[in-house]
This record gives sequence, C-alpha cells and structure tokens, in this order.
Amino acid sequence: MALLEITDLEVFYGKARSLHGVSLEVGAGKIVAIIGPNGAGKSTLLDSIVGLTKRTGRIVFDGTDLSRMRAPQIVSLGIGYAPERGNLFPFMGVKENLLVGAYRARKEIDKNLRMVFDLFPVLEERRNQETRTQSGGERQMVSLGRALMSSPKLLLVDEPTMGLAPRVCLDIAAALRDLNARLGLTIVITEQNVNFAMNLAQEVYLLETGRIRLKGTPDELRHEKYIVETYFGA
Amino acid sequence: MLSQILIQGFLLSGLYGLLAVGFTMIFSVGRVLNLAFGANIMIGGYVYFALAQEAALPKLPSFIGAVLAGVAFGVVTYLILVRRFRDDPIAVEISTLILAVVMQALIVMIFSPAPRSMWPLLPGVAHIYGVAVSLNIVLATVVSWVVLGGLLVFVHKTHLGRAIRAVSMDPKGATISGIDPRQISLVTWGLSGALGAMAGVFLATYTQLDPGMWVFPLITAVAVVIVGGIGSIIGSLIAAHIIGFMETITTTVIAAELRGVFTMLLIIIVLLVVPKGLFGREEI
Ligand SMILES: Nc1ncnc2c1ncn2[C@@H]1O[C@H](COP(=O)(O)OP(=O)(O)OP(=O)(O)O)[C@@H](O)[C@H]1O
Ligand SMILES: [Mg+2]
Repeated sequence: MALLEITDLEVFYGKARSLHGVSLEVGAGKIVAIIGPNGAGKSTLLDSIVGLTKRTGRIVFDGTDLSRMRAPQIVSLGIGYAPERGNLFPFMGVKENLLVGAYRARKEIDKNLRMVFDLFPVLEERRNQETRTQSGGERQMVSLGRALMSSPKLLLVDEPTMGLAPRVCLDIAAALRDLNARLGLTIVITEQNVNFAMNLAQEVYLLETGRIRLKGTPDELRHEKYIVETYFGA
Repeated sequence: MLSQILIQGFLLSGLYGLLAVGFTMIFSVGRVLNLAFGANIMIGGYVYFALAQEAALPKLPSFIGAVLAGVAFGVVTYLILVRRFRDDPIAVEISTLILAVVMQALIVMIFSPAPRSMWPLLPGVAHIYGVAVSLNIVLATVVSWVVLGGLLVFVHKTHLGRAIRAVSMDPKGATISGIDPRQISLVTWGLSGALGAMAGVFLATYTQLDPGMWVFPLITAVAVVIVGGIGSIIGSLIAAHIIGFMETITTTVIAAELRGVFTMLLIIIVLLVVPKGLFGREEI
C-alpha cells in the first residue's frame, strides 16, 4: 500500500486555481521527484500535503485522511517538510532551529540530533551560529535537519538544489540517498533541475501548469520525446 | 542628586521594562498592536484594589488574583476580538482601542470616576546611598526583574518559549514544525495580560488609581517599543532604561511636568533617524 496517496487535489488561491485534479502515489521507502518549471505548482502541492492551503480532494497518509486536518496535526503524524525558502528562524542558532523541529518529538531529541549532526557535520561545528548569517547550503542543511527532528516517516523537500553550487548539490543528494537507504525514509522532492531529480528518484512526475503531465521511472522519462525536447533542449 | 537619579531611574526602568515587554510580545507573535494593553494595566490595579482594600484579603492572594484577572482579560480579548480579525491588523488595533475605552467606562461605573489611593505593597522607606526610596518601589522593582529574568529564561530554554520565538520569526516554519500559531498566540496574550496586570498593580501603588490611568502607560509602552525596536525583548529592556532614566533626569533636574514631552521628542527623533528602532527587528 502507498504511504501517501493523493486523489484529485484542487487548490485555489482566491479565484485562481493552482492545481487541477492532481493525483499521485508514493510507495513506502521510495524517493519520488516532482519536476516542473516555475509556477507549475510544485510548492503548492507540498504545502497542500501538510495542510497549508485551502484544498479539495483526498490526501491519505499512512491510512489517515488528511483532508480535514490542520498543519500542526499533520506534521505530528510523521511528515517532515523542508520548504522552498527554508523558513528557518533567523535569530536562532542552528541547534535551536533543530530543537524547534523536535517540538512534537521531544523524547527522541538526543537520537535525532545525533543523526542530523552525523549527516551534516558542519552543522555540529556551527551549532550556535544564527541561521541568518549562514550560507545557502548550510541553511538547506538546517532546513532538512529541522524536518528530520520530528522523526518523520515521509520527508518532503521543495527544490533542495535551488541556488546551490554543484558541489553542495551532490552533498545534499548523498544525504537524501543515505536517509532513504539506511533509514528507509520515504522522500518526495520537487525540482527544476531535471538531472538532479532523475539521478536521485525512483519515480518521477512531471507537473505543468497545475496538472500532472507525465509520470514514469527516470529511464522511461529520459527517452520521452516531450521531456527530451523541453527539458534537455535537444 | 546623582545617586538619586541613578536609583530612581533604575527603579522606574524596571517597571517600564515590564510594560514594554508585555506589549511587545503580542506584536512580535501576531504582528498586531494591542491597544487594550492599557486596559489590562488598569484592570490589574483595580482588581488588586477590590481584593486587597475593599474585600480586605491578604496582599499576596490579591496580587495573584490581579495577575489572573490580567491573564483572563488577555485571553478573552484574543478569543473574542483578535482571532476574528486575524488577517487585519488595523481592525485589531481599532477594536482593542474601543475595548480599552469600554473598560474605562466599566471601571467608572463600578468604582466611580474618583481617583483612589492604594496602600503600598510594602510600607516603609529604605535609604540606599543616602537616597530615600519607599520599600514599595524597591519590592516592585525586584519583582519586575525576577519576572523579566524568568521570562527571558522561559523563551530561550523551554520548548514552549522557543515555540513563541519561532512563531514570531517565521510562522510557516513554526507551523511545519508542529507548532500551532493560534495556541501560541493564546499563550502570548495570557502572558502579556499577566505582565500588564502586574505593572498595573505596581503603577497604582506608585501613584494612584483612576479610570484614565491606562493612557499614560500605554503611551510609555509604545514609546519604549518604538525606541527599542518593535518586538525585541532585549531591545525593549534597554529602551525601558533609556526612557526611565530620561524621565527621572527630567523630573529631578528640570520639571516633573516635562517628562512626557522629552519622551515624545525622543520617539520623534528615533522615528526620523532609525525608524526600525535602536535594536530594530520584529522578532522576540
Ligand atoms: N500564496 C499565493 N497566493 C496566490 N497565488 C499563489 C500563491 N502561491 C502560489 N501561487 C500561484 O500558484 C501557482 C503555482 O505556484 P507554486 O509556487 O506552487 O509554483 P512552483 O512550481 O513551486 O514554482 P517555483 O519553481 O517558481 O517555485 C503560481 O501561478 C503562483 O503564482
Ligand atoms: Mg516552488
């Protein structure tokens, strides 16, 4: 059974519709990528999963229907979210940011803190640095770390490579792969960087103007004429 | 005269710190100005008066009663008015100002418009470096500082306190960490109500009770917060000292009537030169 199952999701911002009947499925233990251009609705989709938008349709996570639930409850069911701009707490140090992430998982603080610091050793060195003074790459790590502090079963990551140097992207990819392989964490990422997504994910959805246009494994999509023409510029 | 200024300035600043922090917390968490904060102060003073002087209860339970009344007033204001206008700060500000005026009318109906004098919390006079200060003011200052210190520890070292700061810095980030900003707002309004009521009791024993007593402390709280940078607890504490000392100096050296004028001048200068305040930021 899928860990996350979305059926006919519709999201409106005022009168404008951002998602048109989106359906997708994420199997337990998978890494799934949602690719698409600016404004496709990737962030809206992730926001909707954790209950940050007004939405209709069905979202079932781990057997629980999330449609009528509010964001804090959804998070405590076991969904960690690293949003697009991080939404970190700028005047708190790294460790304090992580501790806030543990708001609903206080018993596991020591264990999770160890796990995050092992994953990103630079954060342990800089654990008292305020995040407003950190580099983009460090902030991305804090953002992932904070999401992991809630002991999630599902990790949502919005454009993990946005604005990062190739070297840092590789580090982030390695960390995500490690979390998936070693801890069996299910991961959904969104990306505009199609190569990054295809290398990381086992399943890829293409989202355009609020609709799922294609889905498949990276190998299938790499040969899809539409993707090759639009995203690899051939 | 120097030691007099130092001691009285320090004592006044503790009270202003209480006022300013109570006021600023609500802004940083909800980005709204609670103009009923003055009413909160007045309620603290009058509830203490009713319990300690009219019902002749002992002082400590009366004080606790006043603080609880402040908590209740803050929480009810949030639940009934503020939550409804969540996305509209102007509506919150207008409705809390109206609430303050209504509360003033209510107080006049219950207690009459005549000023009442309050007994000191602690009678007697102490001599500190040759300066005579009433023990009442010393007690108020000590309690203010203990409370403010406790509050700083609370917001930095506990999960709930960190959650309050988290909401003030990034509500979305807090929400996706499992924090409910509405719950945090409720807690903040309660806390702020407690601080306001406490300040009200102290203020009334410094001076006296009267139904217009909410205006001046509200202006002082706004002043401290503008000078300190709205939202910052530390900034508010430092600004409380700047204004506390400035008023003490004005009162001692120039004339008591002018102290408010210099505060206003300072506000205007700060607004012109550093609009975000001396320690400007909006988070706790
Ligand atoms: N809060 C909002 N209010 C109104 N419209 C919004 C809001 N958030 C997003 N939208 C609109 O919804 C659509 C999808 O936006 P979204 O941010 O989900 O796209 P995206 O795929 O994440 O894009 P990007 O790659 O640039 O981050 C866009 O047209 C956007 O303008
Ligand atoms: Mg986006």
